[in-house]
Amino acid sequence: MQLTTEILSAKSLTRRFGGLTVVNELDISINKGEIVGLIGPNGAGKTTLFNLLVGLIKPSSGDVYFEGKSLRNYATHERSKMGLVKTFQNVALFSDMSVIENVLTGALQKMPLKKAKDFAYENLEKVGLAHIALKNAADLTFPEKALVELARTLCTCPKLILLDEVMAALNESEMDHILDLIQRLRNAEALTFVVIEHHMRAIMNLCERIVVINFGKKIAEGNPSFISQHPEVIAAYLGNES
Amino acid sequence: MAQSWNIVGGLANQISLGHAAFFGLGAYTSTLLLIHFALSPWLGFLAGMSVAGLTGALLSLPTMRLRGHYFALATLAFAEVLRSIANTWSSLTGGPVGLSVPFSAEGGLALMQFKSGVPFYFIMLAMFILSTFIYKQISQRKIGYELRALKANPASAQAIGINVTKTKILASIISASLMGGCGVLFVQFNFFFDPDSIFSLVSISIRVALICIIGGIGTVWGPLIGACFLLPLEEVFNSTLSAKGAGISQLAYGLILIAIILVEPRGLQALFGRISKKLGI
Repeated sequence: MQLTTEILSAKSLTRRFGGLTVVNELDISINKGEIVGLIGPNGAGKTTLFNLLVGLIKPSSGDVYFEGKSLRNYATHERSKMGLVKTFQNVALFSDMSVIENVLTGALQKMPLKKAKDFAYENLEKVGLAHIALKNAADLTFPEKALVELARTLCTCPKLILLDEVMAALNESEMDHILDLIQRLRNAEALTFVVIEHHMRAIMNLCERIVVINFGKKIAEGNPSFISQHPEVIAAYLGNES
Repeated sequence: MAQSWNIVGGLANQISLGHAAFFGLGAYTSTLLLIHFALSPWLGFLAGMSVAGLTGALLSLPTMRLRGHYFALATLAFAEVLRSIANTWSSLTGGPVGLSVPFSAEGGLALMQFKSGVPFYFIMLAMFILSTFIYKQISQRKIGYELRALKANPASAQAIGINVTKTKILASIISASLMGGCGVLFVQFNFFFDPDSIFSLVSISIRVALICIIGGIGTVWGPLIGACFLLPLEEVFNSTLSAKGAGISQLAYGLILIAIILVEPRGLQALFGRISKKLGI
């Protein structure tokens, strides 16, 4: 059996907004090279959890650890430099820049301009979008934007990528493309992924392990078949789908 | 001047209405050094840039979290505060009477005083080339990409590793010090200034912003186009229309500005681009 090493963990992470506890005493642990799914009904606290992990929001209590190190005193951009990066729900490209400029801005955080340009093209190639490098980011279709954001993220030389609903609004074949891409990246570059996704087929096919949260608390955790039969999960989430 | 504003206003979309502050600081720094220590204006130029740049850094600390109108108002207020200080602190600044650059009959390069306007023309030209060069360098380098990224989406800019604080302070230093340098050149050319003219909201702060906005915000040539268009326009209107009734020239000037922005919000540069595209050039 392969030895597993933990790359990211959260210990009793809590975030309150006024009287509302959005993330409540949450413990989570992610191993190196895993693809973990994070699911839960709308408003369960998924995106807030991601924002806590990358430091865009400060926790009310609890702490996040990356490669065994407490991230309490690290700002978002410092966590990104350590290799912990997230993408954004609804995709957040720099809209008045071209595709290649978007990706290049990511690469510039790690290397000088000349090298960064090559690296940016390399990563666009990886997601299959080198042919639209000079297009304006604002003129892309949604699936293209999602891929550009992924390429930009790859340019920062990440170790762990938090993907927030990249597959929303994609059709089946576009989704297959991204699913395949994520798996390839994990295998080829030893990346770790945590993905928030609503689409059940995508999450079941992609992830080895799924964490379900509701009202900011973890209600179940396990492999896809275990999760899909878990009564509490069905009640809270899958039951609402049909 | 407009080019220096373009660094903060154009690339980072932080609309500053207080750039007169740096202009004035540059002017006071070099002139006071010249009066009290007989320091050459060339060194005064560097000193003026440093003081303005340092102030720009300090000012950006509290203002960097502000956006849009709030940033504009904060910078505007800062310039106004400096104007009041300069007006009241008479022992240092000469108060409302202003300061004169000590005049020397022979003039000469070392004192940056010349009998004709020609050398000054070249100094100003050099300043323009320098600031345009800096703007261009910045926009093609890491910091330029970072500023544009911050403008488009601060959260994802941080997520990919951009240090917001550092980037904004750096841009502010560059922009403020260039503006300070312009202030030094201005007083060396004019010999005299007072707080109300050097820290002027209308004739400096708003004018540089206007030149960029009309010319084409965040573009290399926008400030030049804006300046070549606005300044002559203002003069022509003032000389031809002001005799026909008070306020008519300002009214016509204002109407033209409104018309330009309505037709092409991205300014003249974009407008020219559209026209030449239509004509198939």
